[in-house]
Amino acid sequence: MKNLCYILLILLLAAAAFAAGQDQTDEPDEIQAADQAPPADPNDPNNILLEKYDVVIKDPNDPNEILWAKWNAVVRVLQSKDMEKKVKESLIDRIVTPIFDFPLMAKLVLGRKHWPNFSPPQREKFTKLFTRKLKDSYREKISHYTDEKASVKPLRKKNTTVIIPMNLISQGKEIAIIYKLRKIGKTWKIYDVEIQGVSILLTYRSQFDDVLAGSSVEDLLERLEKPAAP
Amino acid sequence: MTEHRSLTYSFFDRVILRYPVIVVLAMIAIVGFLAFKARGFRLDASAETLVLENDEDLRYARQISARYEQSDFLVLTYTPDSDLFSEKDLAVLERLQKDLEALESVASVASILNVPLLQSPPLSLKDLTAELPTLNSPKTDRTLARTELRDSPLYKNLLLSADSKTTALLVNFARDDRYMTLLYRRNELRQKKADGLLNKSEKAEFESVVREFRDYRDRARRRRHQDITAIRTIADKYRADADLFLGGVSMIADDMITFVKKDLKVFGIGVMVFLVLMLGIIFRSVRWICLPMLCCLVSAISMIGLLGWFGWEVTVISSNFISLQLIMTLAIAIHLIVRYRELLSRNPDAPNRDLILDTVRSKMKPCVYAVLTTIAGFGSLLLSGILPVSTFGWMMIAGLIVSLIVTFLLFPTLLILIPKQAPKRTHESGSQITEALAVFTRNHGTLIIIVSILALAASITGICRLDVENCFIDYFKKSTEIYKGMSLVDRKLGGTTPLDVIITFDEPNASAAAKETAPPEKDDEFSEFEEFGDDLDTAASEDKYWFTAEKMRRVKIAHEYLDGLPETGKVLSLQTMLRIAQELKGEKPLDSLELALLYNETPDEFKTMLTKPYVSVENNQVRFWVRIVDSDKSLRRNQLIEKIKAELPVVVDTDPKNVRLTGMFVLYNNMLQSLYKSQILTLGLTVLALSIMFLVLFGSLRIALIAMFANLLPIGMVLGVMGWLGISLDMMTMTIAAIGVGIAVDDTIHYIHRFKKEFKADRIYLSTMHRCHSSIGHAMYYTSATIIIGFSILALSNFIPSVLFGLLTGLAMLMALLAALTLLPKLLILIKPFGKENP
Repeated sequence: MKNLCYILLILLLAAAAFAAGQDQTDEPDEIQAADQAPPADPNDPNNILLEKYDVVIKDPNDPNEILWAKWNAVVRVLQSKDMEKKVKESLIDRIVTPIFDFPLMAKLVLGRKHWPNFSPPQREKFTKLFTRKLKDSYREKISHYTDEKASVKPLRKKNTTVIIPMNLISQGKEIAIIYKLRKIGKTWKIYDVEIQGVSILLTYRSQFDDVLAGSSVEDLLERLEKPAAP
Repeated sequence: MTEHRSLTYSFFDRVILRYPVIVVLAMIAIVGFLAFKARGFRLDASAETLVLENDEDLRYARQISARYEQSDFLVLTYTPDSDLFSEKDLAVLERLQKDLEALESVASVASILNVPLLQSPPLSLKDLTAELPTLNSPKTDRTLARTELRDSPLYKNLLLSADSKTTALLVNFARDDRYMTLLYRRNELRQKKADGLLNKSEKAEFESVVREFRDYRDRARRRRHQDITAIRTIADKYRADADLFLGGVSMIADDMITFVKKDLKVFGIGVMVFLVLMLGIIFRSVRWICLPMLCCLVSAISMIGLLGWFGWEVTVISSNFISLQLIMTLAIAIHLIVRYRELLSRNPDAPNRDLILDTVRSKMKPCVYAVLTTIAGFGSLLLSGILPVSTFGWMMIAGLIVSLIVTFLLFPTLLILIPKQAPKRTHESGSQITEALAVFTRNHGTLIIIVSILALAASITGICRLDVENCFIDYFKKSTEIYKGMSLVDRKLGGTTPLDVIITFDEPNASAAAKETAPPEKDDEFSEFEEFGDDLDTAASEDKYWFTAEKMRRVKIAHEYLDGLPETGKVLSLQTMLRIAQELKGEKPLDSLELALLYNETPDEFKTMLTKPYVSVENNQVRFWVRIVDSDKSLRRNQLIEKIKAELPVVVDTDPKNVRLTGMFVLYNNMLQSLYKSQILTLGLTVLALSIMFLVLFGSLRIALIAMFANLLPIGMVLGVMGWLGISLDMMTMTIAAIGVGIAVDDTIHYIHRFKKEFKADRIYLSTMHRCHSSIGHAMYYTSATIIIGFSILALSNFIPSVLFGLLTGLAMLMALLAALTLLPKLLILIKPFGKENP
């Protein structure tokens, strides 16, 4: 089980790495920039590293390729032995961030039940905090990577989305991962990942449901601001 | 009144005494019929009778028990002389377990031998799919296993004591769904009947369901009794090298009924023998032994027959009814005997028929008064609204009427059939004692008043010290197996009485206030919800997403709170299971994703075992299974319940309505509190009713007040003594107030009635008192002496409620007698309610 989580997160990173070089803007503070990749400074050693490890996607219309390329990029970072943990984390963050549709994830995680109860500033704040939370969560677990082998299966189309199943072999056990992607502009972005049938989005939705059942929107935001938030 | 007296007179004169043989034959026929009906007589001490029938909490408890599939269980403790984990002792334990499993009703037996071990050696979560190792598995490390069983959040103090010397076998019985189905149907139809909505076919069904349920319940109880006996027999085989004790709620109920039945047999006979002895010592004549005993016997048989006929069930609360009926019958019979003998010694040559007629005529009125007032005393039981208690009230009312009729019919008819016996002066200690009391009252009247006031003050202080607690362990003497077993289970293996704490989580809802402030949505704002929403919403309702970190955080807080209460023993909940999972994972608390994965990955069988008793996803609630340490002397049950009700919602930050307490602990407490309210708080009402009755009977407010005061003192003193001695008011002792009233009014009424009559002779209070003491005083003294000594034998019982009943009834009688022969005459002399004295 422990491994499942780590693998999932590694996959998230790998998949997200696809859009590392795209659509980057300034980030005035950490929270605000949470759903975006860090700025690209050509003199920044991290950017040099990014160029070394990240890949160029030949066909951004092919979600399978996106996933596979990002996966390989993240695995390469993780396998490099002469890199500090912090550098690795930062690098992976930049590789994967662009391929996640964090605003949609934030919206769906609250669902139509709670989203209308959030004022526009609250929605904005929530999106940032939630994005940070997702990132914190995988950052914390990334160091547990071992040498899992992955294989991507043929994708399935469903309305405007695609579903890409992936199989991981971890210590002889097969683990089923499903990526759910939606096309935004010219590229595909992940809005949910299922691991062994458990959706990350729904896990958080249910958690926030519980909190909002007994507390206010502000309470939830306050709790998310704390490092040990649910 | 004259008409009434003449009616009574002519009824006895023209019917009873004219055709005594026919009356006797008719009575034999009626008693024979009732004896036949007595087959339907039932003694019921099941846990069901100790709870309130129409209690909302009971309905809820049944619902919870069904939802979480709770079944009845017993705990068998095993403490070997040598090391529990030695090969030899484990082999013995295994044989014991197999013997228990072989019993038909036993669904499973959980012990240290067959529970899964997850840390000996440590397993990972994915190993849970394989067959889990147990203590006897080849790969199990015994040293690690020993530590795991002692320290595991699940097994600690449940299967193994902290000192690792005592282990428990949890004997689980199969869940009896048929019982519940019948019970629900009966209650449903009963409710419909109460609402007057029963149609013809349902009426027939109701009758058959009632019958069927009763038969089924009786069979089930017999079966459980047989199971308990069988378990004890099995345990006996292993006692050579180990101490074994049986504990558990159903055993308490079963043992209670066993003790009550045994007491009825052994002490019933004992009481009879003592009564015979006392009657022999007092009257020294076979007829005065046989006649009252015959009246008692016929009254008891008739009453048992009536109970069987009406389907009234005797419960532990009403288990004393036969004893009480003996007391009432004997009192009436002794009053008749003493009066007859008094008349006989005054007119030795008068015809027997006239003597009997005079006896009956003069005693009818006070006896009817006494019975009526006693009925008023027991009337408080009817107001309780608690089925077994109000049934007890009806039993006593019916019993009193039966005693009155039987004694007034049997005594004269039998007496007329046997030849008159010449009056013989026996050595009657009664005359000396009552005379002495008369002299004492004359000489030390002021002292009596002072002592009475002091006694009243002491009683009130004592009453203030009374507490309302029902401690089952205190029902049994320390030497009994049940006591030893219960205290061992309580001290070392997690407590006895189950308490279920249910927390329902708030349903996720959008807050209305937030909605109002939310700006109107643009259409495209919702387009994404349209696109993804339905799929997500459907999937979100799956069970696995229910287990969120937020819920588990609250479960943990609640678990720790309950576990931290000094009154609680073992607490099992989802938290116990989570702690085990966490130990397997070996890290910090699981987050929501890990919880969902854990739930998804755990094999179904294991999942059911671990979560079913503690979670109902469907109802969005969790259950904490708590066992209370019943033998803890400082345990204040009602306070504990109130405390948890008040504190837990604050601790877990939820609305108080989301936290509910249920289970036997709550149900017993509800019963006790209702009983307390109905008994002690309606005592005031009873006193008022009695005062009005006294007022009507004696036609004078002053007499009514005097009578009331003389009555209140003995009742107050009984309750006061209980308070001072630390005897709690429990389900068994609670009725003592009603019994006290019943006993006390008898003496008061007889004395005042006689006083009123005797006063007319010379209109001098002092000499009237002397005459009363040497006439009615004797009857009162004999009645009290016979009953006090007769019932004192109950002090030898192993069942503490029987002991208390015997001693407290004796105390009530003694106090009532003393008050009626000292305080009452002193007040009459002092206040002179019958008018001025002759100069």
